[in-house]
Amino acid sequence: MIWVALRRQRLQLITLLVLLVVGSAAVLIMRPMMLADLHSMGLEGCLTTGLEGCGKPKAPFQLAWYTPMRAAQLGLLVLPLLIGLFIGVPLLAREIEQGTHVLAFTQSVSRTRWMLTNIAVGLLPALVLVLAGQSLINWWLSAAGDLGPLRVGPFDMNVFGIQHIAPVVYTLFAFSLGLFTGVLARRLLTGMLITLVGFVVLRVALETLRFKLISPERKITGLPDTAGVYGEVKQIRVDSGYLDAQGHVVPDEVASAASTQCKATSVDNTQFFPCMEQKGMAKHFTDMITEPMAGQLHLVEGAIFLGVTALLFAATLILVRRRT
Amino acid sequence: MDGALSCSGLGKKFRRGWAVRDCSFELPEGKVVALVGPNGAGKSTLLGMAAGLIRPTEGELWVHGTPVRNRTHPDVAFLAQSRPLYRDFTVREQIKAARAMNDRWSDERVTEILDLLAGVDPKAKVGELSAGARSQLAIALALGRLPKVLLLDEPLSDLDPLARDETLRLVMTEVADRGTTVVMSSHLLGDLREVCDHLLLIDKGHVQVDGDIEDVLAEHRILVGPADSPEPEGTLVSATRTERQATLLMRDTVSVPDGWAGTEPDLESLVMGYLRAARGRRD
Repeated sequence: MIWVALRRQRLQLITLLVLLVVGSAAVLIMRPMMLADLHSMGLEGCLTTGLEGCGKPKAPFQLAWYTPMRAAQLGLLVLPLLIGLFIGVPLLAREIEQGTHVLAFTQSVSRTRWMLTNIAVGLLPALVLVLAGQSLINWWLSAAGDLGPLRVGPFDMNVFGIQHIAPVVYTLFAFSLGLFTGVLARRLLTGMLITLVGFVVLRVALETLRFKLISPERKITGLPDTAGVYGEVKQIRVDSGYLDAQGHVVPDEVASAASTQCKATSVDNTQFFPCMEQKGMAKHFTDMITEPMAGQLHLVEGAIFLGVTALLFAATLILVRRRT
Repeated sequence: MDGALSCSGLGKKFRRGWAVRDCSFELPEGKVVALVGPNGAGKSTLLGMAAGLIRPTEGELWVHGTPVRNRTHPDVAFLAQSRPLYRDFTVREQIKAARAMNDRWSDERVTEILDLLAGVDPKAKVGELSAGARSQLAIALALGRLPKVLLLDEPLSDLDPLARDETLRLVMTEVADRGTTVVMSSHLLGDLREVCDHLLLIDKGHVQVDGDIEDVLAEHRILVGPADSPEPEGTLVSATRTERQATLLMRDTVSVPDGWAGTEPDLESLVMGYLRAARGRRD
């Protein structure tokens, strides 16, 4: 049965292999070239300086290397969707569209085994490509430090999507969605269209809701606010405001009214903050999702994608068992 | 339930209605069964259920006494009307694929059959074969399963007379060599008569006639008589009338009344009579 699945997906498997070889070779060539440029331009000291200047012109290096690094990053971001569209959808839908599932269903092999073998043969090589691509591209990009696309920190949508378990869970989700819609629609094009829309919708939805998925870390300071987190790009400020003397959050409208009144009576901050304190704003708080919390966020988001994936696989199995 | 293929109270309901309803029969072993009926009578649904491909809504189906449940019975091989084959495989790869998907398999049987049929090149792509060669390859693959019951859905459609003859001979050899029971649906009644010895006629999902062809033919009479005379005793299956003459297909007629000429129908006119009656009921 494995042979049949391998033979049927020969084209897809060859494509995956070519992508793996060409992609790996490209990274293995580009990274040392980039490091050589970095060295010759004397930019090693700029790798961890963030947005601050490092006393050297960064522009020539970024002009040469930013585009290829960005392209590799975007490639890794869309790879899961491509796998869903071109491996997940046709895997069973092509059989159903051409009617050859009837051939498979009337031999000794059970429908469940038929489906699982096909999934294994299509999915495992795709996951190998994703994992290899993820390691190599992150290895390359991290060598460019703050001069490359990773400088915006782990919470930027384009960085979050290529790190930790994200590429793997996106691939599993896209693949299972493709598989399900293909079997449901029984047509390649319809399946691909629904997969494209479904994938983008869930990705965008979780992109929007992402920072609500875990509880942030609260930093409390006296007035004026001295947390100094506004300019920091590598962490996310979820909420901020005032606490009263008991440590309860002061409702925004109350704080805003107080602020308006205090602004009207104050010349500068030395008058403004005592005025605010007088009106019950004892402390200032900032709710942050800090850089070390990225892993936890990945796991929570990953669990949601994996849950949806499991449901889609189960639904596909039900469809396959009922298919005539 | 005994018999090669039997069912009781079998029914299948699709969204648009019942395709097969209340079907009960017991097909004897080693027979070649002609499954006939008008388009949409439920032949393909019945074969699909027997193949374990379609799950019955009600009733049960047995192959050699063991129930068929949501998968193809190990003793059954099925040739679907669409002849599903991997079109981008070569003939050799298609055979390898079928072997890989089966627990019981005989490569010798497949090669033996394909050798009998000149013109199937093992290196040719399945999609490039003629319709006849594709059908024959599909039958060879079905026989590679060494079935005791072979279900063929319209095996002769799309075949030229030569390929039809070759295919029928293939089936006959299988029956003679291995005693396989064959159930074959077809519209080509002339061809069926040559090879079939049992008739299963269904219409609107119900069994109308089930029996040995010789017995069935003996039970029926074609009566030709004047148009204005009263209908003779027995069960009228169908009638065609002109201004002067009536031609009746009767079942269980005791005697031929005066003024009428009676003959035993051939398979073609018997089936035609039932199909005409079916159309009459439909209109």
